[in-house]
Amino acid sequence: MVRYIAGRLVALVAILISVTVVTFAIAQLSTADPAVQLAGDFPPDEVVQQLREELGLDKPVPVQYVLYVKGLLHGDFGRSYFSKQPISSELMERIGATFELATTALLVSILIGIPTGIAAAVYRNSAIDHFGRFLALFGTAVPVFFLGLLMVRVFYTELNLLPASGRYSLELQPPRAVTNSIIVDSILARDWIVLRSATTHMILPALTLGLFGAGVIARVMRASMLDILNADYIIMARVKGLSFRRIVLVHALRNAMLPALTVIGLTYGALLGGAVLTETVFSWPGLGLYGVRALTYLDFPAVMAVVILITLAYVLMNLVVDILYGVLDPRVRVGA
Amino acid sequence: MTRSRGESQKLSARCSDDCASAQQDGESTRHLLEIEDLRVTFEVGAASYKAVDGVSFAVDDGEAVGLVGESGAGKSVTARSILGLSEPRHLAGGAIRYRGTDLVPLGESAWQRLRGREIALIPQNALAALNPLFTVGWQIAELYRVHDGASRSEARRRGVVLMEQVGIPAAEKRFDSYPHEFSGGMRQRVVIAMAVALNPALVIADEPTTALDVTTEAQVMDLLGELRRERRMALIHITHDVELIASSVDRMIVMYAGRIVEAGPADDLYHHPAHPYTRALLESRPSLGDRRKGLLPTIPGAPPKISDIPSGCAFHPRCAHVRERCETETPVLRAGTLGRISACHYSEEVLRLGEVRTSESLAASLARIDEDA
Repeated sequence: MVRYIAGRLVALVAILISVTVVTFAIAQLSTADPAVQLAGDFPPDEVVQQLREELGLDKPVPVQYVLYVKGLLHGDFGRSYFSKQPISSELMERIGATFELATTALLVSILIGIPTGIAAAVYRNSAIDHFGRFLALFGTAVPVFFLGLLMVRVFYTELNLLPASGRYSLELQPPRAVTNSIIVDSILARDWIVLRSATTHMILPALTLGLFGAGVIARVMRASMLDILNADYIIMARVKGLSFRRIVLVHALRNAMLPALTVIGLTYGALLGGAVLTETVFSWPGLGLYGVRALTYLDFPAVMAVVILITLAYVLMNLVVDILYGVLDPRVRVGA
Repeated sequence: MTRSRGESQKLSARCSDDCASAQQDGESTRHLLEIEDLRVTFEVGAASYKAVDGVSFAVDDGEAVGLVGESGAGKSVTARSILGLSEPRHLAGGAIRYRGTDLVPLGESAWQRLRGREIALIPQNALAALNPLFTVGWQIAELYRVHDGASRSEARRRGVVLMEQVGIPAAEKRFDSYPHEFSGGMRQRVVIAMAVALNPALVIADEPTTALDVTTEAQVMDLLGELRRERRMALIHITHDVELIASSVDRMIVMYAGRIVEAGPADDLYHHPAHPYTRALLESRPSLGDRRKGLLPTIPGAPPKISDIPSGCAFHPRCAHVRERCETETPVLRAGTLGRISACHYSEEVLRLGEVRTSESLAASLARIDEDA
């Protein structure tokens, strides 16, 4: 198992190195001169020159790359062209916001997707199976921004049940940032008013994103469950005189979870990185919204930072999935 | 849950109400298992195919019966029906009586009480029959936990004892191993352990040794015989290998194309078959002496597909003794001379052919090779 995880970690590092190379190369190809961008409007030449030296832009490209990676390792993503502030400090809170949203959305996806998938496989062609099929089609076919707007229209504009923008009511004082998740922080601070506000603000965006993932998870779960239910060891479980419930929930579920796990991991990666549209619709101050703004202003260091963080999220999720595979399936542990 | 009430009594004691009527008639002559005119059909589109076509036989307490035939003869389908695994819509007719109770109309929960505790299965492919994600011990101990309500430690203790009994070395340690960490022979011992764990009255072994090499096969056969004697279990051994079971079963039932073609005491049937198919099966036994001659003896042709069963006697296209009558008239299973039951128009004639020409038995050949070496 240790060797197995070590192998995964090596692959992870290799991927991250390639991503830094690619992002660095793209930044090099851009026409914008970072020093000019940072120096402000109509800077005198000496200021630009001085900045260039400060940023190491006068050095050869390979050296610049090494400096860039060195910075990354210290959590230094450079400074934003737009705000002139260090990107890392700007991102901290936003990572928390995105992480909080993506995690809640993933929980929604799993809680809807897994039971729906199991029920759809067990009761084929029943109402629940049709619902699962509809959910999958709906989740994949309806664009997230449209679903988001629909939610806002129904639950905010028409019914006025739920808030539709931001992470909490702006008149409230946010709790001290410990985890950068407002929900967790407000629980830690025992600030129930903020908790309530943060929770209600979470519902619509989490549901929007969660429905997207739930459909896919339900479909994969159904397919793998159907497959497993035909296995010899399921027949053997019946021959042992086990109840249907036990066969499905103990003998089949764990096997059927393996393919679903891959999809859950990928969904989480997509939620962490691809929540751009949802964050825009719900003015959720996360990574996606930050990335969109960075792109609009050609704020290259910020774009690079977002790309690297999203890659990191994907890669880490894959690592977690690989490890969980090893935990669930003894054959994987040996095979590494 | 009902199961935790220590239901170690046999079904006859348990289903006092349901079975009262069944128990009244013929208490003394009652068989352990009685299959009567079993018919299993599969529908594909508008067509309906008969996989099992009017099979009747009985098994008594502690008796070992061999169910012999080529693939597609309906042996496994029959076995699945005895375990309630055939879907009801495929059961076209007949009765499967266990200690007098017809199992066909039973609901799923009644089946759950029966399976494992009364009727158990030793599957063909042990690797596929074991769940890859659970330890072998867990899968064995599960039977004690679910059926007897045993605690985790109690189930483990009993599981280890059972693993020792079926000849798994270092059972205490191997309890926590996964199926893929076992050899083929050891895996087969594991599924055998699962089958006998609750001392069922009837064990169905569905080609339990096909995946094994000859030496391991012999060991597993020995183990099966031993367990059967110790636990006084009845056994239905399904196989295509007459030779393998000839000495270990009391009776043999030979199936062809969904029907029984011959049945009788194992010895009689083995030495003096009363059906050309049985005879052909016996003549196609490979022996080490034959090997130098090149081709293995075979029955010409292939077993019929259930979609295309020949008219008259289903075996007639492959039969060495075929006559005109065989192509049109389906022979019925009937008792002939010497108490032999055969579905051949000319069974007496076949019987008169005498003992099947046997080259020396496989075991004898092996022994001779050992001496030579």
